[in-house]
Amino acid sequence: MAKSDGKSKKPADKKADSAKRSASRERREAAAAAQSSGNSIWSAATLAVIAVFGFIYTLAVGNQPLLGLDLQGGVSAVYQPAEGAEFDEESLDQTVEIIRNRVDGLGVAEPEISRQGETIVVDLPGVEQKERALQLVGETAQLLFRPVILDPAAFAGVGAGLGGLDGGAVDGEGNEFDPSIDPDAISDDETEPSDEPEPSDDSGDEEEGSLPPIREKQDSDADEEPADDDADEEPADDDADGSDADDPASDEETDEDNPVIAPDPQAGLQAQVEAGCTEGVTAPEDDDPEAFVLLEGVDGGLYCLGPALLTGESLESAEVAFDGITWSVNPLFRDGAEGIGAFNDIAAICANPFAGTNGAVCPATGTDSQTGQPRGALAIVLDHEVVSAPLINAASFARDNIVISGTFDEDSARNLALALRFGALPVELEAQQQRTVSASIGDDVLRSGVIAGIIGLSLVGIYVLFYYRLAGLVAIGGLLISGLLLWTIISWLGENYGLAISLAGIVGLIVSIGVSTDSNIVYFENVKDIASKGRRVTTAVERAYQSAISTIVKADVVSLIAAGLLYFLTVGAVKGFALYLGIATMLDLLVSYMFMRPALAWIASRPKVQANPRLVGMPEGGASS
Amino acid sequence: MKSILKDLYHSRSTIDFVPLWAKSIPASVALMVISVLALVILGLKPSIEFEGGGIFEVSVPESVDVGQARDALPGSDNVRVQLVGDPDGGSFIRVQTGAELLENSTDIVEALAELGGVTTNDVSINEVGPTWGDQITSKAIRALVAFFFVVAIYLAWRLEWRMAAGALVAVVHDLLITAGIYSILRLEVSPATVIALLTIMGYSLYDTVVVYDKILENELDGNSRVKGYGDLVNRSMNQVLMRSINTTITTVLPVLSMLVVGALLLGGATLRDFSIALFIGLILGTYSSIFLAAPFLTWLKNRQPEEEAELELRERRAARRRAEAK
Repeated sequence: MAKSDGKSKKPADKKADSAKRSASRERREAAAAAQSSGNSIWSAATLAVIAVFGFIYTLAVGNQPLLGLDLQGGVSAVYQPAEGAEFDEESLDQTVEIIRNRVDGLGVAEPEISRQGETIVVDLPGVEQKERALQLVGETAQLLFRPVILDPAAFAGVGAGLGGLDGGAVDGEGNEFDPSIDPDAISDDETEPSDEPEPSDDSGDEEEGSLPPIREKQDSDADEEPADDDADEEPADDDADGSDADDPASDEETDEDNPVIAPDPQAGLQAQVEAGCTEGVTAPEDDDPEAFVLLEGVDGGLYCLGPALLTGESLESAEVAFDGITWSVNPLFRDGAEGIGAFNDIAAICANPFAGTNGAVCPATGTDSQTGQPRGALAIVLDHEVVSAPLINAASFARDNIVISGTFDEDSARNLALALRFGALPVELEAQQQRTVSASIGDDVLRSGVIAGIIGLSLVGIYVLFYYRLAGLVAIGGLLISGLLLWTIISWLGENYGLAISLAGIVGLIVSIGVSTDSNIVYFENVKDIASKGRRVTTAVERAYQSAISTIVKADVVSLIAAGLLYFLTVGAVKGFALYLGIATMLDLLVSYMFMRPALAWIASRPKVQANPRLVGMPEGGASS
Repeated sequence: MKSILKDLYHSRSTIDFVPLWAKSIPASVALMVISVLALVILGLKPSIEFEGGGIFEVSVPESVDVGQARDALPGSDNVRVQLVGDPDGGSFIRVQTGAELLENSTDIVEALAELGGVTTNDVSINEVGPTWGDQITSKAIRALVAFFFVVAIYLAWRLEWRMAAGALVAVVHDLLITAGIYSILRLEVSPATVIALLTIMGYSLYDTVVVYDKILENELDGNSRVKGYGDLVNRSMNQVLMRSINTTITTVLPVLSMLVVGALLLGGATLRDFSIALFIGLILGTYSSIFLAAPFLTWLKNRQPEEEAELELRERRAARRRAEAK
């Protein structure tokens, strides 16, 4: 910053005096100024060209700003771990991932699912089935138990064991029904399908050594086994007789007295199966719990599954167990008819697939690895994916005596336990805010925001033109450049990062009009200040810049600090506001550095302006008068 | 009058701010005290985002009135029903319920959908759990404290600690009085209001920084005409006055248009929430930079022992010369 000379003189003397004293210096400076503005006009032009090309590019590739759901309608929900829920970074990330998978099934164009600390924000702009979306996302338990109708190998030949619900010992030791389970099931993922003669019914020809069984825990074997044998026949027959509905798909699976779907004649089943399992993998949105579906397993296999017989609601908890050799999972069902009762009704059927019409509900898809008995399998389906499809090797279980054993390693056992415990989400979530905005209201909000912005911008433009005359064009040009760049950046962020702009963001931008204009005003006033001391306008334009830019940077840094802290320390709308305020402030710095001075210098150097500084709102310069 | 404007235009005004400060300081203090009293006694009126509850909106045919809407709603005791006009014809029913009614929200949505003759998908719903607002607030406060801290350090480094202190005093003044106005006028405080308050904070600082920067610049330039710090500040104020006025005008214009559009157009409720607080805050921000931050700084400066001030100034000048030499 050049020292202002002549300050100690009386203002009246000052003009003449300083004019005399610094005549030569003035000329030198003017020359330097002309040269520097000659160079820097390129920076202004470059910035303008970049802005214009960026905008054209954005239009050409069809990028558009992504509107927040308050502007286009949609659903937003904010979740946090429920009180007392245990969670850590990893389980929260996992939760986000699971929610994302669920949302993907909804066909939302730009879902935004983010974790901000412990808070999970789900924004689904433009989603049409709003209620269903909220349900789908927030639901902790999307866990279904469905009978395996055709064994996996029938579809993909993969059919690897996924673990087994096993009523017997974890490792099978001392379990009379399970002579061969431990070493094979543990070590052998692809299993030994050929070991076992396969007496399957409708899926007949398929080998099924791979589906590990559900058994009771070892210690209860003695008590329960006799009961098993009874149950083999009795409950199943009751069911079959008691509710001979025509359509298995229409039955409620968790019906208290009869949670099991009454079987149809095989032919009917075949038709149902055909309908559900021959059309390729069932899409998540078509995954009706009451229909036959074809779903993928985590092992990559395909499973044709019957209507859900039970939901995750019937479970209370699940633990992993490790006996030193194998990992297994112990689910704990709830007490009562809707918990273990319902499960046992199903177990009775699946454990005896050849009894009565049981096979129509839960056909045999494998054999008990210990007894060689044919068993039906119950798939554990999480978010449309088969996590495990264990055979049921006993017809009745005590609620705390169930083991799913098989080919687990530690991770897969833990994952299954987590899934069983919380349904799909590893962390129990509580909705803090759920918001749905109808598309028409969104439109109105957007329209009012845009109208307010345009009016505000025009008023500012008119004012700066009125007050600063031609120099006002510099301010307007700067705003235009910022505007074009903003459009490009916002569209780019929306297109590539799914960052939507909300009303709060628009307000941030409208407010930033003021900030950008202020930078120009600070500069213009500085120029005026110096020009009024008798400098040529062209000189003043150069001299005023340094102190102006220093002020602008200081003030903008304060704004950036505010934007940055707000962005990192807050959630939701405040975050969006901070982001766009921050971007706008950076653009202000950019425009102030590259555009403001050269543009004003160019205007000031026009002969007409030189002759009449009032054209740029400046007083008549001393040196030029 | 005209000559004052002309002087202002040419940054030649010679307004003596010192006697004005004698009035503005007590006025500011009084306003702050009133605001604190209002906040303590009346408190703020939180929106449902802070209290928990639900807002349901649906557009309805013109024939529907509030009474009808009220009758249609199940359990309509703790329910506020408003009819909002829609410039496109027809109108809007806005229903606000307490958190305890959220269990019935499906009924409310269905009743409203029927009233408007639309599907439940066309009903806008905003349901908030009772603890969510506290968290937003505590996060905002945490951000605010962090902000004060960081900005104080930054300003102390780039300007000087007295100026950092003065800037923060001015910000607190602006925030407090804005909150006080919200409390007295019983305006609802929504998350939008919080954002607006944070913006005000940024603005107020921005404004003060510009003013202080001018003072510092004049101080460093040094000038034998200056008689004491008060005079220096006074002169600087006159120099930046026009900038302050112009900046205020150009920032208030967009906010004003938000206020007007928000008040006139449907869907402008949030916009209005933003702009009321912004409008009040911006005016206060300009006011406080001139009438509070400046005298506060002068007061702090005048308490500084002269030799120390002299020494400091010399160091700063040297530092600036070094910076310029680079």
